[in-house]
Amino acid sequence: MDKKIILVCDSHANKTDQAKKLINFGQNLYSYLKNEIILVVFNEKNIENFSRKINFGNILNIKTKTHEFGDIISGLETVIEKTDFSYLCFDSSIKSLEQASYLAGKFNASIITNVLKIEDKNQFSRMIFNSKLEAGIKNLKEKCVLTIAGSSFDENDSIFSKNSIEEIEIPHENSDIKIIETMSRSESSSLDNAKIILSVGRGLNSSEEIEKVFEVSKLIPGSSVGCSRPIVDKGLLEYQRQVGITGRSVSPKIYSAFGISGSTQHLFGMKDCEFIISVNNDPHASIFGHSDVCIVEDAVLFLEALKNELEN
Amino acid sequence: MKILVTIKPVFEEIQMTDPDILKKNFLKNNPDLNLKINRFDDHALEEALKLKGKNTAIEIYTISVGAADSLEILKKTIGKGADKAFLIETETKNANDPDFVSDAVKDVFMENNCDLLFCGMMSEDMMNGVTGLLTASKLSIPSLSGITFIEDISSEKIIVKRELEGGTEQKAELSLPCALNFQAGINKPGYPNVMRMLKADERSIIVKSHEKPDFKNSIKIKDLKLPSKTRKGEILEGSIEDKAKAFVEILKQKKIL
Ligand SMILES: Cc1cc2nc3c(=O)[nH]c(=O)nc-3n(C[C@H](O)[C@H](O)[C@H](O)COP(=O)(O)OP(=O)(O)OC[C@H]3O[C@@H](n4cnc5c(N)ncnc54)[C@H](O)[C@@H]3O)c2cc1C
Ligand SMILES: Nc1ncnc2c1ncn2[C@@H]1O[C@H](COP(=O)(O)O)[C@@H](O)[C@H]1O
Repeated sequence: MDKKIILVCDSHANKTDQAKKLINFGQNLYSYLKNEIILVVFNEKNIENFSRKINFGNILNIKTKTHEFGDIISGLETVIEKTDFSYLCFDSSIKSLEQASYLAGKFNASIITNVLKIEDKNQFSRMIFNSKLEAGIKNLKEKCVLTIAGSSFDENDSIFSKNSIEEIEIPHENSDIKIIETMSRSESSSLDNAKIILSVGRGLNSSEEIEKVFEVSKLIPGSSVGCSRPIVDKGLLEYQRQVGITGRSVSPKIYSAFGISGSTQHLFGMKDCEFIISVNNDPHASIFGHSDVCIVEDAVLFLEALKNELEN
Repeated sequence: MKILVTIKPVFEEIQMTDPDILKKNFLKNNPDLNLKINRFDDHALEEALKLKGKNTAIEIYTISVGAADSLEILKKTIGKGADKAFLIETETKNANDPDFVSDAVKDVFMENNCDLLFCGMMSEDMMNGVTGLLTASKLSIPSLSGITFIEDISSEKIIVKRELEGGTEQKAELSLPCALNFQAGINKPGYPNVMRMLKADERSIIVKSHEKPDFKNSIKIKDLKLPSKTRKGEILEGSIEDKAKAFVEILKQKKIL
């Protein structure tokens, strides 16, 4: 049996975008492996229409009773049992990580997460050490599960003209994980309308130090104060101010980071800002690679200097 | 009830260390950098200790898969209140391969009839975010990631809260045995008790190997390099006042001021 590249699109909200991103990745992988690509989606009501929207025809639509782990997994297991795969690709959400790890364990596959680029046949790059280094990771097994973080994969023309849309139905499985309740904490925040966000991270250690950024913010109209996750964890600022993957995604004109290292989870929330200025006392801080302007200084001293300058 | 907590020894002060030094030391078997408990694991251990605080019948075992210098880290976990520790002594390339680590952890979990596996949701060096989930899959036990809170526990089940992307939280119930992968920052890990730490000996820390002749690594870590830039990253020169002036200039150019 020929091996296939299976792409799993398990999103509710941005299904089309996620599918396109996965297909781009799959097609890049195809250029190395020449394995056929199948896109797996769940409970898509109008599959013909969806296929046209993403301009891709090799789709398997799995119908499940619920969208819970147990049902999604039995759907995927059914597919994998009939389709030998070389690569099984997911996006990088926490739920995808859970599914990906489960299947890697069951099917004796290797697993490489948060893939940024394809470096070579069977070799992928990803961040390590809180994004201070990028590593090339080689897959040494016959089967490999990937989760994809990068979004800038070349768009190839659709390789598969063949249209083969299939649907299967999966009986409900009782899972030993029961989701009792899902809650949302996404109330509105002053960050949403800010023209400039001054954001503080672990480089500022106490409420006295954090007060400095509020003093500066008072002098800049249209500004608001944001922060990284550890600042919220320590109870120094409220959750509504957290920027990042488990916080808010923001897009002010200017984002200014004070004492923030530049982890992928934080960058996720601010990468689309028009202009980024970072202040960090470590010249090697990874945030500098994602900034327009870099200031190597102690954040507290710099905030004091900035306040003086604004007052003049 | 027995809780097995995975503890990955990672370099101290990763944030402040020059990437070239990290690069030189990462795959060495005797690195020159000091080790500490992976941040996420320290929070997972603290959750286990909190449960033990309420129910003294709970036993806590810790496990590291790594080089001999991990012993010092395991002593710290004994100092913090773990009853027993396991060091699966192996080369660095295995300690960073989730397939190897999950195999080794699985064996210890089964040999000791454990009820709960507590892991960090991510190692600070490799950042895979999978090792605990993969171990659970190999053990055929349920598992969730992003755990922030244990609400209730009995001998059959555990109720937890966890956090997903974009401010979504979930409350979930898992049947025991199960594996939980903890988020960081959810509690305040205590300091080890020095007397307990000094008393740690070969009865409390068991050193084993996990060499299986037919084991092949699932991944190989190849090139380590500085991450590619996504923006220009112009570095401002001059005195701190010059830089503050430049900052204000940018605000004016962008019509903020
Ligand atoms: C599933 C998951 C979700 C997450 N979600 C988020 C999220 O939504 N948002 C988020 O921010 N994080 C999130 N994180 C955490 C993330 O991985 C990082 O741990 C976090 O972003 C680091 O915050 P930081 O940059 O403030 O701290 P650190 O990484 O500790 O960096 C501190 C920085 O301050 C610098 N510094 C120190 N002292 C000074 C000084 N005096 N002056 C100037 N600079 C100084 C240091 O050089 C360093 O670069 C998540 C993690 C996981 C696993
Ligand atoms: N070598 C190891 N020894 C002990 N625990 C580990 C090891 N590698 C990973 N882990 C555990 O698995 C979690 C997730 O690691 P990772 O999958 O590398 O992000 C960590 O927080 C640790 O709890």
